[in-house]
Amino acid sequence: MEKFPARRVPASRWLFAAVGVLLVFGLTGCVGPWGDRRRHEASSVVQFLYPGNDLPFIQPQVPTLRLPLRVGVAFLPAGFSGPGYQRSRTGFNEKQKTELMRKVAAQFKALPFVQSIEIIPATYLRPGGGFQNLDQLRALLGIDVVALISYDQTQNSDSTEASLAYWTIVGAYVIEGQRNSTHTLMEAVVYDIPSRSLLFRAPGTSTIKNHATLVRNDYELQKASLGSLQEAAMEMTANLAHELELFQVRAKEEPQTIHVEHKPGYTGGGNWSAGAAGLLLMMLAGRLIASRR
Amino acid sequence: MKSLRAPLCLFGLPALLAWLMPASPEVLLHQRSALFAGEWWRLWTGHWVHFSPSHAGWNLAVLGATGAWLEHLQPGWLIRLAALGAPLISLILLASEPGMQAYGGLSALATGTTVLLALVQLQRPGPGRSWWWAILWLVAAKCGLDAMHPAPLFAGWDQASLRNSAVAHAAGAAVAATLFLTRSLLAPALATSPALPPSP
Repeated sequence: MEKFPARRVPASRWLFAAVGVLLVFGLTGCVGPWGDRRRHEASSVVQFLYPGNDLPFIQPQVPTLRLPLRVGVAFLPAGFSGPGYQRSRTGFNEKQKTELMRKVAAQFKALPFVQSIEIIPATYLRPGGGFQNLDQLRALLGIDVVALISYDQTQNSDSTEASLAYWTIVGAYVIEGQRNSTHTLMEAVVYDIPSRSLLFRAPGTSTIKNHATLVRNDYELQKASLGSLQEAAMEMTANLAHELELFQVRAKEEPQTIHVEHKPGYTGGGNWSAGAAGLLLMMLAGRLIASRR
Repeated sequence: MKSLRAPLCLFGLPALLAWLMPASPEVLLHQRSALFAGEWWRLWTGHWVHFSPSHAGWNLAVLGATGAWLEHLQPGWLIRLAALGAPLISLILLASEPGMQAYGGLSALATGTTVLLALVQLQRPGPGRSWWWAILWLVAAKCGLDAMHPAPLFAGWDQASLRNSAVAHAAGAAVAATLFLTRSLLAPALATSPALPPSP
């Protein structure tokens, strides 16, 4: 048998092959994780107030509101979950949070029985600080009631059939193959700190659905996240006004559920209310008419 | 109409002036610290200061009706009640409500006028005594309700620390009853008067 000498493959061919493999894996690496993404960002009232499962449940008492009230408004610290999204994507920065807290504070300021509102900076709250943290705020700022604002946001990003166009590279720039949805729940819960009791709560929700190209997907998700938070915040402030009205009615009609006291230094007003004065005037008029007959 | 002149001059016009004067709360209101500092005129003037139009309106409506009737029956009693009753009510408030920093409103005097009118009517012969007993019961019920529910806290009051004072109403009724029992202070002639005309 004739032996053929072993043919040496030129080095340049090895290089081409290696570049080819790298390109294939590189491209798939580039477009591979375009698939499903899920992100969750939340600041939970329960986690803040009851951080440990082993902690005993704090039994709320019947709240005693000492008028006029001093109210604090605070944003609860947020936590994140989801692969690769440990930092906040929302762009919901401290300035925007302060603006929202000012809107909430304005709702309280309109109430005649509220003396002052304190906007509590984020640095004053510890994650999982619980009622101990609220007691510290009470001592530090002199507040009686606190409105805690929390939110829960979930974002999903799925690739649609159109995402096949990403293989063309150009498609990743022009074809909107990502289907995104953003769901947000924002809630203001108002607690009487001394009695540990929930006075009322006001929720706001928002859902935003959109499509995006692969390249602009992160930007669109961030935009939707912020937009959804703003929508939920608007709904929450509207609900808060309604809940405050209901709370005032409840405080008057169900005195057994909320005790009301006045701090020393109040102003007394002698007042014949419309009902009592009207009844008295009717009785006087009745007597006068009866005497003239 | 002649009888209406006294309540109008004694209560209506001064209350209107106090409402129109921007500095009236600072100068006229019954303020605990100012009274202890020697501003004794506030014992009288505090009653004429109101915190809202409805606050003034209902108090003046009661005072207008009961005051005119009382003035018709017993001319001169109303001014005596205002002159003696206003500081007495203020002193009772100073002693019994140490937490109350300030007080304003004619309702204590309105309550006093109502009680005085009812007592005068009950003393007179004639029918209709049950009406006046009912009015006295209404005043008592109002004082009791005010004590149990210190409303209006949330409606119609534009100041944060404002509350309805039940003690003021009770003091007004008590002062009126005391003045009636010591009638010579109100109208010396009445003490010697042999008989009163029949009740209307």
